[in-house]
Amino acid sequence: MILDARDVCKTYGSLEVLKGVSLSLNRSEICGLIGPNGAGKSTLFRILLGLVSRDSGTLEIHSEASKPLGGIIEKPALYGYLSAFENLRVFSRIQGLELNRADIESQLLQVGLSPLRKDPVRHFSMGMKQRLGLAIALLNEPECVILDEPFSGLDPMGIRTLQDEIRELAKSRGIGILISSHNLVELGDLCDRLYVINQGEIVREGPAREILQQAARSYLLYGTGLESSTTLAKADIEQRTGSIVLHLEEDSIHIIIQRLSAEPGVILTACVPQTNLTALFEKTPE
Amino acid sequence: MKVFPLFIVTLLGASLLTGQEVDPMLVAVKERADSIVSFQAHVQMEVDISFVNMPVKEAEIRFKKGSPISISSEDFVMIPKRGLDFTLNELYKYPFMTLSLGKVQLEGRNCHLIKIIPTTDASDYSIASVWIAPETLQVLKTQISTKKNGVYDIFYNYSGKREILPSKIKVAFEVSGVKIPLRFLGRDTQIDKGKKEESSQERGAIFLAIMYSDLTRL
Amino acid sequence: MRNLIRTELFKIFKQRKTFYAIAAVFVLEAFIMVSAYFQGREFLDVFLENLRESFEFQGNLLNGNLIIYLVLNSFWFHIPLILMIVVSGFLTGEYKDRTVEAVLLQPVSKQQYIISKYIAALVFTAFILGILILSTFLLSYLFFGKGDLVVFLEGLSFYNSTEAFNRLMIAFLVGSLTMFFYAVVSITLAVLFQEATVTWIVAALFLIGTTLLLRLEFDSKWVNSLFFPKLTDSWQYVFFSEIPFRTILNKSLVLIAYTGLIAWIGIRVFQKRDIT
Repeated sequence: MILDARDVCKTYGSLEVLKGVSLSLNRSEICGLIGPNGAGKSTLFRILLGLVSRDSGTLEIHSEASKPLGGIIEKPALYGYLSAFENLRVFSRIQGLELNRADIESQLLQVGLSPLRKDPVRHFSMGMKQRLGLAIALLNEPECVILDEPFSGLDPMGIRTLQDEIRELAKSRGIGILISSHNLVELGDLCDRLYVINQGEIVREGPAREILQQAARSYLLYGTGLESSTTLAKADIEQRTGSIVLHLEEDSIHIIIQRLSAEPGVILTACVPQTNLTALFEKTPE
Repeated sequence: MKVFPLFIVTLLGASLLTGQEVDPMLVAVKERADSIVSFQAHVQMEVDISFVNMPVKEAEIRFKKGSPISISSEDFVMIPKRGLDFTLNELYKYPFMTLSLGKVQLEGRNCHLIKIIPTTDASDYSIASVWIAPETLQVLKTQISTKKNGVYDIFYNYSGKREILPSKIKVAFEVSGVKIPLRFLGRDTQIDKGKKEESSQERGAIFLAIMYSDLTRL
Repeated sequence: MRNLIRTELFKIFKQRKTFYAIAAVFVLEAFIMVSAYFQGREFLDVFLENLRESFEFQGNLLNGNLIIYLVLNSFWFHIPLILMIVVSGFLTGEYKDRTVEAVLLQPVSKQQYIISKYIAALVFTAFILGILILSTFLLSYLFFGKGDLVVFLEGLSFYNSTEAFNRLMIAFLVGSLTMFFYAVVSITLAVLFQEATVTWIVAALFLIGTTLLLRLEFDSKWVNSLFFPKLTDSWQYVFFSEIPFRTILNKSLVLIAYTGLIAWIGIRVFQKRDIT
């Protein structure tokens, strides 16, 4: 375990922003933190990164590295009047890293940025800024990286690229990565584990697929012959072009799939759970 | 009744003297002064005025008979308007009459005091007094009451009895303090525009120490 | 810490606004020099009027040394105003761009960061002062030549050219402590207020307030020795006929103590505050 936060509380005035939040992260693991706006995600991350003090709780970082944690909070903060090269040089120098030109250029290439570009970063697209921010977060080889809403402002291509980079970091460099988002799609495929936070409390935690499954209240079914299925005729469904939405209150999708598979004339090609956000953010009973 | 004729005689006698003759001692002093053809001198000037703080200044003086005295210096210098007239030409500039007041004491020395009274309104002084050491014909002191600039007292010291030119001069004069009409620089200048602070008249002085070279005489 | 300071200076001189500020300072200096020339003429006419009755003046008093002296008088309000705006921007700009948090996400302590800001501010101030002093002396002597300096302090004081130069240099050096004080105040204000416009307004108020308080006369010796506005014009003492070195030293030491105190306040507040 590289990071272990227990019972972290934070209050601003009369507003209790975090109410006993506990969270942990292992090496090579990608953990997601999902929650609606105002749930406390950024505040928690600021506390983990040392920017904000906690009122109570413990935070342990098990790392001997000179920079155990790296991170980006919301949009990456860069020196807009400096080039990408100069930004990396500034951020490396302030932490005592004497990187030569080749080292810096290599860092830029690693995140897909061209070392030839000399213009100030204020001219960069959001995707490029995110990548530069990631390069800065990775300076000095932290063992854990915390990314707050890293996909915000990115186009689908940018999101996919960043997701691939994150996977690569965890897999090849063994870095534990904690990502926050309010978008399920971005986190669903990426994360090993998921924490769900709402109103300052962790309401669910566990393997990502399980969490998403638990909160699924409908399924998108693809296949042939589904419109005339007798199994589906008795169920609460919605016809769409090319698919059928099946609404299920209880966890019985496996029964439906079995019946559909056995039904003659029906070929089920895909079954995609649709996570219900309200259900996801609801606190699970103790 | 006997007083009247005596009075007339005195008046006549006085008019005969003053209208036509300059005191012979003054004439002799002037002749001595006029024997100087030219000289160069190095002068040190020290100002003694309560509201002025100035270091000792040095300048070069050049005199050639018939030309005004010239003073040059690398620094800024304040040259007294009176006191550098070694030839008494400033007093001789306008027609005058003299009045001899006979022997007097000046700082323990016997002197002959002569009053010089200009006889024209054009002169820039109203009366001058000259104290002369009779045995050396050296001018020891001059007092000039100017019409516009108050009274100057000029004291002369000589390095020897035969010297015509003084080696030390003290010029004492009246000077008003500094007016401060404007909000200006400096710690104590707090007075706003429009307010004027007139200082009273006070006496100031400047001390000159002169070392001559290239002295040419007739 | 050295790396942090080097980086701060690198960032300062990479920003266009720094050069705009330097240009503004030079433009201001030019204005001040021109006005000093006219002010000098008036000063000489007024203050030497009575002496002209008894003396002929030889030599030019409206020279480079007088111009420098008059420029010196104007410096200590106009230049700190620009300086405080520029220096406070070293930190308020980072709050606005959120690079404060970006830096603190690296293994850099808050204390190291903020101390490097103060040191960079002092270095920048020294740099500006250095070029200002150099240009003032060069341009003044180039256009107006050298000569005796006359000042009105306890009466009229005349100093020959060499002595004038020495006194003017000492005055600039003593006055520099005041500039360092203002530079530190502007960083502390930036810590307290964070937002650029608010910081500028408060900095301007501080400067105006200090200048006004300086002109008040207090009977108390302690107030005159320890109240900080009264410490910001120690350079004037350099032009007394007998320079009171002890007084200058004492006032300078107290001003340095104030500077340290204000820096300490800024450092403590910065350390304690969350970066949100």
